[in-house]
Amino acid sequence: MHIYINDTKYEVSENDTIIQVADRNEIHIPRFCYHKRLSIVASCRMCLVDVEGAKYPQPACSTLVRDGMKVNTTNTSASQAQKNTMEFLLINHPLDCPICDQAGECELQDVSLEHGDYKSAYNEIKRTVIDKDIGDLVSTEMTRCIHCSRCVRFGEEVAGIKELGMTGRGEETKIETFINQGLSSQLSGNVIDLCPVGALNNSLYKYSARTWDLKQTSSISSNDCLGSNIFYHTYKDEIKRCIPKEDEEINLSWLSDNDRFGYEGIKSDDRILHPLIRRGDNLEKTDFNTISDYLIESLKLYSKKSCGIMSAQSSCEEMYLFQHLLRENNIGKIDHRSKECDFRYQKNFPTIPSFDIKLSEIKNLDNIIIIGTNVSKEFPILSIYFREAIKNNDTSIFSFATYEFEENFPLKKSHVLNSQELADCFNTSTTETNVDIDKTGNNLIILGPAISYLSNYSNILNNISRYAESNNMKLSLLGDQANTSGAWAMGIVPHRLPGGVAINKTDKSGNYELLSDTDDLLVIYNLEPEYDFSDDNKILEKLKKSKANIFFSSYMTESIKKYAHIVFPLSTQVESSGSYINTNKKLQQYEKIINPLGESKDGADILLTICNSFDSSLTHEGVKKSIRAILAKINVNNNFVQIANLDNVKNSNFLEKIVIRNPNSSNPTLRRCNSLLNTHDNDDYFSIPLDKTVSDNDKIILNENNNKLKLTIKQKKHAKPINTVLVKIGGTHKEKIGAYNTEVDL
Amino acid sequence: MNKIIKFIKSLFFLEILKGLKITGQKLSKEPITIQYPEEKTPLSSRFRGLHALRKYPNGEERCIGCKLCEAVCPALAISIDTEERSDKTRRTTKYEIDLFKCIYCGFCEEACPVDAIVETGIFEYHFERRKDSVMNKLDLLKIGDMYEKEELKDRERNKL
Ligand code: SF4
Ligand code: SF4
Ligand code: SF4
Ligand code: FES
Repeated sequence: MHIYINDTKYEVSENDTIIQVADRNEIHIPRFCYHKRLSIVASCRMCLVDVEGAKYPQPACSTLVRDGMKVNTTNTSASQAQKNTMEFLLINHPLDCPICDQAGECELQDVSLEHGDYKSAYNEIKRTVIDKDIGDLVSTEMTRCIHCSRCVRFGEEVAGIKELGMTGRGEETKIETFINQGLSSQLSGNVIDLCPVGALNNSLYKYSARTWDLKQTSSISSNDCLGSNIFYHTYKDEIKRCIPKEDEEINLSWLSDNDRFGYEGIKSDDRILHPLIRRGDNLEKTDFNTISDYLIESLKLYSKKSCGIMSAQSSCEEMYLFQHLLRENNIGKIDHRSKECDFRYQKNFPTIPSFDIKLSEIKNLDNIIIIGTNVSKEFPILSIYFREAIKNNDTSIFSFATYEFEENFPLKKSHVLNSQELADCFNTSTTETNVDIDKTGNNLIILGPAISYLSNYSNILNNISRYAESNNMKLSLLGDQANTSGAWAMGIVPHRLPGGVAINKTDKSGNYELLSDTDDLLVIYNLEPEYDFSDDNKILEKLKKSKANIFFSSYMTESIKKYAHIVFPLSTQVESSGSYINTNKKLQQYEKIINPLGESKDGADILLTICNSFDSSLTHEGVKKSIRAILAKINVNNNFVQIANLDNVKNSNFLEKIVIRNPNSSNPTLRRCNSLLNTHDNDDYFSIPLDKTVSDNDKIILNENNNKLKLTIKQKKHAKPINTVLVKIGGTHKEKIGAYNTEVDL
Repeated sequence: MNKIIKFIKSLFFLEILKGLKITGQKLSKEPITIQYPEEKTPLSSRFRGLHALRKYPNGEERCIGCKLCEAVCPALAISIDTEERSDKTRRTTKYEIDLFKCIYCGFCEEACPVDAIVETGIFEYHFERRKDSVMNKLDLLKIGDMYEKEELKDRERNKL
């Protein structure tokens, strides 16, 4: 089949619309309401083109092609139609371009340059609309709205939360939030890109630069394990905004709010700008050589009782060098799992935890079982794929979690269970499992990061693996941080070298404890002791006792101030280059976007210089090559974790405390993004003890060993699970949380 | 033939006499030389001299930080930073013109949508230190205050 556009012949297929053919062949047709990932409403009439045989110009976005159709996009009939539409649009549009942030990339501005008239026949009063306050992330200038309804359709079709709606008719048409509240979806920032004019704007970017001044550099998101592709826009060595980079394999045209606004934290006041060394009670400025020497000396001196804990947000390069440095100095205790406490599974764990199928294949699944993650909050991009699956294949989605939450897609069934029930529920040895799904279909089980915080993680993993295998389902694991897969691959675990090569010692994996036997030296890389460890009391206790505490960190915290002996100032991800391995095992490089603040340095540079002092053959290039080689050898599929003779650790008669993972503060930089923390539901923490007689706003105290945690009850709508107190870990809490998952007394 | 005519003309200093005729005419006329700086030539109302930033009669600065003047400036002499002021309007935090770079083309004045940046009639100024050539926002606003009356007069005259 073929059609002619402006007298040139183009191959087309049956269900194409004219605008799709034109876009494929780079023929420009102006449009406002049409967007390739949204439904077609044909309401703006900007895309009118001349179709031979038709009496009037036809909208290109909704007109299907016919064989031999002759379309003209530029002749008088088409351009007169476009000119007329433009005249009506400009009747009510303010002359705001000089102060409008959209100017320079505004579709309306472009089209009015092309088709607009210099004079207007309209002499009446222009319409003005009062701006809405819809939160800290998106600022509004509603007089500029041209009612294309893209933002409304985005909410309905993609984000799954109807946050914006159109009210009124004709002159009175307005875009409004339904119940006078702000945007709360983790995808809300996308309406900024979608809005063809400057009605919905980026609050952080507002008025701070002009589009023509910005320099665009591509990068990779550092906030979740999907590894969204992004563009940073910089001006005068400052990041002004972040927008999605089209990527058909991962984030399509979208971006989660964490990725879009997550750079805000890098300007925080508590950035560490110089190398620091302890002199008495204080940390004082020094130079890199001094602290490097100190580090090498301590590594030699204390290698027996020491450990290195690294954030899984670090790049593969940093990880490779980190484990190289430590292992060369006979320190084998290297880990990234600071938030976990049950490690009995580790020997049987796959080389790389990963997502077993391509994201684009999700839409073909029959059933999805999600365990322990609130997808629309923690992995908003993934939730878009789930919504598509439901639309496309009527996929049934089941959720098993330790607390109640809402998803932006319909759940077939959701179970709220405590940790013991969660393990039991998938126990294949009991005759009846709780999961009633059609086991013959194309099914996938997804395990969220928060499950690994539980103290019976191994049991759950074991049971689920067996369950998945016996029912012929695929199993996927979502990492806690951007580079969790990389951390496993690069050997940031005590029992494996890079590439997953097991270290063959008498592997008593069952008894492994992260912080035992580490009384002399702690090397903590890009983690905040207060927030990033499964038991803040324990780590602080350790820091107090240990003989040398070496921190690599971008931000100062209380505990670093108190306990660090030396601190290497790390540059943040946007200030360094490196690579991440995403959950699909895709190695993605990112480059430096802006220069590091102060004297802070790229971690890979610091580590390489130190490594070079005893191994001069190592280079950045060499490291990159090794990483690629390692990755090429790894053959993932999540061969299941099956452990024989695993004891149950839980006694379900106790009151159990479980923490809720807060995606808006999952890494140190995000914890400093105030506008993100303000917008989303980020109460410090809330708690729901059950089958105890407490009511809302009661104050309770949890006793756990010697830590007391004071909480105010927010019962909300949560009614489950039994015998459990849920505590949300955010980045702003001042009190110590204690162990993530443990028994407590009220 | 041409050569011969040329030879004859040069013989009688014809060209020189022609020139002397003009000189003779001008001798009897009043001289146009101006005794600068005691005397000054009249300036066009469109003269493009030192820059100024204007204000509205209520004292509010006109400039809205649109950066159009910066974008249009062929000499890259203007440099602007903007922010959202507390009353939610777009304003500059920095507005600098390097007068050594500026070529006084007047494009900035033409680009400005709110008639904020103008080139006044001032052309007699000097700098004693090199860095003085960069005029900042305060300087420019001050000049604007001082020359607002002249500016208005010029604008009146410029009307077609
Ligand atoms: S939305 Fe576009 S046309 Fe309207 S003021 Fe902004 S830049 Fe100008
Ligand atoms: S706010 Fe923007 S996206 Fe929404 S209808 Fe108006 S112009 Fe369209
Ligand atoms: S002087 Fe005029 S053109 Fe220049 S930034 Fe200000 S308002 Fe814009
Ligand atoms: S783009 Fe076709 S009618 Fe709006």
